[in-house]
Amino acid sequence: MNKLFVLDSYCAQSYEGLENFFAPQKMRRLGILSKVSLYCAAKLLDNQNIDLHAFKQNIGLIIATSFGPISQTLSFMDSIIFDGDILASPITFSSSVHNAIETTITTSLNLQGPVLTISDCYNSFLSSLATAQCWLASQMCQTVLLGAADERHPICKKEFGQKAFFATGAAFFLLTLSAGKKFIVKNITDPLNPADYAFNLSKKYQCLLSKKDISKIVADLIKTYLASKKIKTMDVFDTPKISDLFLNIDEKIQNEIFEQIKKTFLIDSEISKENLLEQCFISYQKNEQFVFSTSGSTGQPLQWRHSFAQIREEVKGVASIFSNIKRIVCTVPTHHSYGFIFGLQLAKFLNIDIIYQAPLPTLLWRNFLKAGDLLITFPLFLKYLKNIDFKFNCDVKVLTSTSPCPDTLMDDVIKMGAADITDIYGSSESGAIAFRKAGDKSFKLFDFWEYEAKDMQIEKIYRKDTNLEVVLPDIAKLKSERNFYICGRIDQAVQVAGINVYPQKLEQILRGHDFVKEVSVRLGEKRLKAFIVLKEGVNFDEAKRNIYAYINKNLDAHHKPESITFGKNLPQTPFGKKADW
Amino acid sequence: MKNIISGFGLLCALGENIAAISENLYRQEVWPQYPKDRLESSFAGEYPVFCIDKNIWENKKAQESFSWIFLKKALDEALICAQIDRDSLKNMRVGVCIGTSVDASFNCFDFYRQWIKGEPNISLRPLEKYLKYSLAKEVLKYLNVSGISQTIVTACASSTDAIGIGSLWIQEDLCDIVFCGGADELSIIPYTGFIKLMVASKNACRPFDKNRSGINLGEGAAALVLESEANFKKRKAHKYGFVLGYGTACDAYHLTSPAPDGRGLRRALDFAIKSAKISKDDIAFINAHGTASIDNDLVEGKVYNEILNNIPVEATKSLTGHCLGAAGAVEACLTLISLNNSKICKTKNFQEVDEKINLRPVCKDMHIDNSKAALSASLSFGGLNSVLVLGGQAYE
Repeated sequence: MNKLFVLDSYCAQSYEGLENFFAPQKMRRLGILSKVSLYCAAKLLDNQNIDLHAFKQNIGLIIATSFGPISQTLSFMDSIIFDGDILASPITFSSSVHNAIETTITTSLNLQGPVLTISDCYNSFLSSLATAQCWLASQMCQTVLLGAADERHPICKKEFGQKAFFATGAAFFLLTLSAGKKFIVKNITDPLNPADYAFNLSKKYQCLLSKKDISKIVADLIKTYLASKKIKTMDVFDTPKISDLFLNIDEKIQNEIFEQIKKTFLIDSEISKENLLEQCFISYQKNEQFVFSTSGSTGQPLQWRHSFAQIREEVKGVASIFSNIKRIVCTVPTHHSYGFIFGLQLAKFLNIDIIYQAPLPTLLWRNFLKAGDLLITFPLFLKYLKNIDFKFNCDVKVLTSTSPCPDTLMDDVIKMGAADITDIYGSSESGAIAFRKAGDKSFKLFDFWEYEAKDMQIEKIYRKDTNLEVVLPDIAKLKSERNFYICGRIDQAVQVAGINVYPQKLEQILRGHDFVKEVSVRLGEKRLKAFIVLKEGVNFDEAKRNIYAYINKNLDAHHKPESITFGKNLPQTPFGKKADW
Repeated sequence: MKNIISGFGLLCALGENIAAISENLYRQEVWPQYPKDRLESSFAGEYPVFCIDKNIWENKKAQESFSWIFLKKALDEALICAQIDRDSLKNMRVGVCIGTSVDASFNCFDFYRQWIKGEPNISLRPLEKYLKYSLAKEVLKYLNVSGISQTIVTACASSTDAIGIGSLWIQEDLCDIVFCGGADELSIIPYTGFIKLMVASKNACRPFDKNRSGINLGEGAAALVLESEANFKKRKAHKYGFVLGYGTACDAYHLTSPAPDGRGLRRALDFAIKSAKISKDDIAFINAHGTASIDNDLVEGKVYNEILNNIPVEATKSLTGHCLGAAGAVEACLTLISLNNSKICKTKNFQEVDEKINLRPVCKDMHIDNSKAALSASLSFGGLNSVLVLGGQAYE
C-alpha cells in the first residue's frame, strides 16, 4: 500500500545549531520539543538547498506525535494547580496545544501548503503515511515534510524507569511519490517510546550526500580545478556561487570541468550548467558511489571509486577515536577524500554541525575556534600556524591528513595548546588506514581493516565487511599486533625505453650530492625528470655543472634525467604534498 | 472528489440527534451556561459555555472520556442512518479518521493533581490507558474491524481535516468506507487557556457582530459515513449528501492569530472549490468558522467579501459554542442539515454590522437552492485553514 519514497531525512535530539537558522530571541518562548523539531526540519530543508525564508506552498507538513509538547501541557497544569487558574500563563497554554510543533515550523519556515498534526498514540507515525501519500497523489503538494516528534513523558520516566528510554527527539523525512529511496516502514508499537522507531529509521534514509553537500562538493571541485589552471585562484578562499564560477570561463575549460564532475559523480550522460546539481544528485542516488581523484603527487592523477557502504564503515571507524566533538571545522575541500570523509561525512555521522573555512593562517582563528571543535586540516597549514605563533585558547582537537605529519610538528601543535592531534595515514585509493596521536611514532590500524604481513612487514590490507583490498605504497613494519611504523616508500618502477627504472633511485643518488638540499623525481615525456633545490650559499652555475658531471658518472642511460629544473622550493599542492612541475 | 455520505450522527448543545437538531437549528432556544458542575474553575461563574445534556454522560465510566461517550453516541446514530451492521464491514477496506483536541491531550487532570502532590497509592491506570489510547483506535475497536486509523489534532480545524482526509483516502482508493468526524469535550485546560488568552466572552457569543467579544466554548461530536460510489452501490443504502471537495492551507504567520490578509484561507477555498470542480455560482452558502473572536471574524469576513461576495454566510457557533476539535465536523453536519432542509438558519445574536468587516451574515432563516453545494470552513490555532465542499441529497 505504501507508495512513498524518501528524498532525504534528518534526526536530532537537541536544538544546538538552531541559532544558525533563526535569531535566538525569536525562539526563546518555544518549548524544547518545538525547538528540536524546528531545528530538525530546518536542517533537512537546508540540506536539500531549499530556501528556508521563502514562502513555500508546495511542501506539505505532517507532524506525527504521540504525546505532543507534554512538558508544556504539564507545566500549564502545574500553574493551575500551584498558582491557581487566575495566574495560569497564556503563553504556556498556546505552546502546549498538540499542534504547537506544527505551528512553530510553519511560521518559522514559511510553509503555506497543507499542514496536519496526527496524534494517534504509537500509531501516529505509521498512520501518517496514508495521508502523506494521498496529499501527493491528489497534488495538494509536491513533497511532504513528515516529522515524528516526541519527548519523554516525565511521568512515564518516573513510573516506568528504563522502559521509557527515548528522550526528546525528532525525525523528519522528505517524501515524494517517485524520487528517492523506497520508504519501507514496519508496524512497530512502543507506547512508551513512540518516536524511537522513526528516529532510527531516519538514520537509514538520511542522504550521505544532500543537495547542499553536492553543491559544496561541486563548487570545491570547480574552484580547485580553476586554481590549478591559474584561473580565479582567489575563489579558492571564497564561497562563490557555482554559476559565478562559470562566468568568463572558456568552453574548453568548462568541458574539462564537466568531465571531472562526471567522473566524480559517475554520470554517464551529458551534463549542463542548468541541471548540474540535480544530475549529480540523481546519479549519486542511483549509484551510491563516489569517486576520489588522487592529487597526482606520485604521478598522473588517478580515480578511485568508493561505495557508500565503504565510506560509512570508514566514518564509523574514524568517529570511534574521537569523543566530545561538538562541531567540525574543515579546511580541506569536500571533493577531496579527506574533506569528504573526515569533514562532511563525519559531521553527518556524529550529527553535529560542520563549517568550512579557507586555510588562511591568521591569528583570527583564535576568535573563531570554539571549545569542542575538531579542526580537519593538513600539515602545511599547521606549519603556517606555528610560524605565526598561533595559540589554541580552548579545547580544540586537530585531525591532520593528506600528507605525512612530522613528529616535531605534532608535538608543536600540542605545545600550541591543542587538546589533541591525530595524524591519519591513508590514501585516496584506500581512505583512512591508520592513525596515531602526538608522542607516538607508530600508527594503529583502524578496526575496519585486516592485514596480511610477511617478515613483520604489512603486505596487503583489506576491509572486514566491505570489498576493498589495498597494497600499501609504503614500507609498513609491524611494531605489535595492528601497530606499525612507516619506514619509507616502496620503490615504484616506471618504464623508460622498455626498461624498469626507479625514480626513488635517482632521488637517492641526487640527494647524496653535496650541493643538493631537496629533490623530486618523476616520469617526464619519455624519461625521468628531476627538480632540485640547492643548499643555501651554493653558486648556481658551479652547482649545475657539478651535478651534471655527477649524474654522468653515477647513473646508467635509462636513469639519467631528460631535464633538470632548479627552484627555491619543491613544487607542492596546496596541502603540502609533492606536485608535478 | 465526490464521496457519498451514507450516514451521519450529531450531538451538540443543540440536541442529541439529527432529528432534534434539525428542528432546534431554526428554533434557536439554546443558551450558554455557567459550567460550575462540569469545570472546577475560578472563572466558572464568569465565562459561559455550551454543554451537552447530563443524561448523555451521567453513566459514563471513570476510564471513559466524555469525548468518547459523545462520539460513540454520534457513531451509533450514523451506523443506523447508514444501515450498516458491523459484520458487513469485514468485507470492506475500512478507514477511521477522527478529529479532536482535548481528547488527544494528557487529559488526566485529577490523576496528575494527585501524582504531582505525591499522594500515596495512586493508580496508574489513567496513564496506562492514555499511552495506548486514541479516539480513532477506539472507533476501530468499537466497529470490531481493522483498517487505517488516524486521530487528527489540528486544533479547531481537526475534524474538518478528518472529513477531508477520509475523503482523500477513498478518492485515492485506500478505503471503500471511512468513518470520520470529531469529538471534543469541555476541559479545564482549554477553558482556562482561552480565558487567559483573552479570547473568551463573558456573554453569549455574537459572530461577526460589531460588538462581539470572543468565543463561548462548547462540546459535542459528529460522525459521518463516507463511501465510494462503488461500495455504496453494492449496499443500496440511503444517500444523505456528498463530500465534493477539500482544501487546506497554512498562513505561516503567527502562533495564534490568523494572517490579516487571509492568505491561507483564500488558498484553502480555492483548492477546495477546484477539487470539487464547481464554480462560485454553484455555492449556495458558506457555513463560516465564525468564532466571534475579533481577529478571526475580521479575516474571515474580509475574505468572503472579496472572493465569495453575495454568497450567504451562516455562523452557527452562537448555537453550539466552539466545540474545538469537533467544531468542523459538527458544522459540516449542520451544513448538511441545512442543505437537506433547503434552509439556512439566522445567525443568533448578530445585531450590528462591523464596518471593518462589512459582512452581514444571514439574519433570518433563508431558503437556499438544495441542488447547489455549500462550504464549511475552519480556521485554527497556528493559522491553518481548512474548507470542505459539501452537497446535499439533491446535489447532482
